[in-house]
Amino acid sequence: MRTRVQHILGKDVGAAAAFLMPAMVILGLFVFLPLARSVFLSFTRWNLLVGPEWIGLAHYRRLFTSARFWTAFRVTALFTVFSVGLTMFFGLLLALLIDGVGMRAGRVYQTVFFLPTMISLVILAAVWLYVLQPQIGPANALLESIGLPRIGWLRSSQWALPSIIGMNVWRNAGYTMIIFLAGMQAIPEQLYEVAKMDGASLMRRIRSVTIPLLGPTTLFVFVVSVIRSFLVFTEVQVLTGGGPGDSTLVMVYYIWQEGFRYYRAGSASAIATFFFVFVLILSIAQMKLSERRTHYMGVK
Amino acid sequence: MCAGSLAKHLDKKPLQESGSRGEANERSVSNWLRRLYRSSGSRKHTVVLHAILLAGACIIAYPLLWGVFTAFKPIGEIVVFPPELLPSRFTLDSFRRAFAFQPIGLFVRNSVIQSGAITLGQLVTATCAAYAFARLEFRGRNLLFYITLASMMIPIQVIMVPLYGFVTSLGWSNTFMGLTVPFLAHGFSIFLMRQAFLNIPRDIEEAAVIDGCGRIRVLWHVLIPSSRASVGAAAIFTAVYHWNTYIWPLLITSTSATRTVQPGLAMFIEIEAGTDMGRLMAAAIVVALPTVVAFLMGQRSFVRGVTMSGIKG
Repeated sequence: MRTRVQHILGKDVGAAAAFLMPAMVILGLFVFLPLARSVFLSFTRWNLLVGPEWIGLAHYRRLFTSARFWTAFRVTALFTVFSVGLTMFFGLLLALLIDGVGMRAGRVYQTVFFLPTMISLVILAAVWLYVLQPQIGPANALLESIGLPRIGWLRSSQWALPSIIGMNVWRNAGYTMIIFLAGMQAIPEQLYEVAKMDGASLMRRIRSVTIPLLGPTTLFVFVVSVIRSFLVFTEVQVLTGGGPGDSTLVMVYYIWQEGFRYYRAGSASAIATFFFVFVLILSIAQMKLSERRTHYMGVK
Repeated sequence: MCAGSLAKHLDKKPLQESGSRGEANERSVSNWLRRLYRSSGSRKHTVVLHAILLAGACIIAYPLLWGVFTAFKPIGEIVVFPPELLPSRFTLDSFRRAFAFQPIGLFVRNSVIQSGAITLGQLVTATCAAYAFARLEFRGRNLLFYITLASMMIPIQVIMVPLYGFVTSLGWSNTFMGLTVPFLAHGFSIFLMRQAFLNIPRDIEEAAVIDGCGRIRVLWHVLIPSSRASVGAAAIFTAVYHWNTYIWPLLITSTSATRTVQPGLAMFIEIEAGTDMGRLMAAAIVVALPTVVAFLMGQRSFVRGVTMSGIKG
């Protein structure tokens, strides 16, 4: 016999509460609560110890007129544009090449290209720190051997951001490649057969079949890559500390500095909250695209 | 009795895998056809493609190879310019210096505890929550599921300041509680397990329930064994992800006692500032090894995880 509560909330409500409790408590306490608190803190002054003290919109007003905030904004935008553009270009290129030789023959390449994604950013940063070391690093050795002058790389305000972008593209090209490849595998074989019967060359088949049918995948890769670039932090924190001269001051590093170096939790939260709006819009787009792509590809 | 009927059903065939295995066969046939049709037919083309791919693979592998070989060089060969890729002789000196310099063994132990506990915890919370989402009927199920999905849109980078404030106020700085508890549930593992459970036909469970099995037994004896592939994928994904995390352990640990490998390695970089690259590369290899091995063993799981969601990794 059903109780009244079960009648209103569904027959399994008791069991559901028990099964969902652990996950929901963790997500509530350590994801949603901090998010709500971040919004709240953005209207306060707090040094992580005393306070917080309500100051209204003061942080936001100050931020939008602060040169450093706009520097962080510009650096993040530059990083995103170049990193996403190049990563997608190389990712698509690698995927087309592997698709061209066949998935089986391409397996080894796939493993090599994907490998950097599996290695932590701190380790890769260590490796690149050595490769780009101005005095003894292989990168400058290579430049000298072909008669070019040495570059200061991470220690030069001109080259630090391009270095970080380069490292990022090097790491993430394999990641986008994997998603592109999955999209390519879902393209119906018949289309290629027909194109072939019509005498379309390899390039022609890529241009008229593969690329147009990759539309949804490409959009998905784009959004995912933009989110990932927005959140860039580790390589900057480890390699340049935002420098030299704020040339690599990305948004998350800026939040980090405000919060944990200058102990301005309120100001850090204001940046984080402002920044989150962008991330959220993109994330919702990603979710929608992910759904659509799932339908489109017929995979679960 | 419950167990008997389960054994009978489980004997018959592996539940969910049967479907996907058939699919796999179809896949390989279609792959074979695809190769036949897609490759332009000319051998010359394929050779060119392989040549470009090989060049690409060299570019990707090049910095990594520098790192690996540098770790095995005698110290005198590390600081010469121009550097040579290969060492004149292989030595473990750099590894010895690395272990003498920082308690790497302790960092590794801490990371094993940290990512092990998180993985185990996530599997428990995710299978339970996924069961509720996939099988139970209650009001607000969709809403709660959307909230779970929404949690994936909130990156740690955005909430690290208040999260740090909250966790330290619990007295959890420099503890394994602080390292692990905030991550004992994650939307992605819940999502992954829910998908797996939805793919399992209900009739077997119903038989088990009629035989008197409780929900927990159904979950443990029917659903989880039938979705071994997904459990494995979630486990390996989570373990590698948290082995590789940097931001949170960096924030919450300030002593060696609970410091994990990533902030530990970052300390090498800060202190080194380019003085002993051999030592740094040796430490990096030690930290990288488990994830590389896990990746090579479970490549399929990683690829699946990435293509499914585009998050993590």
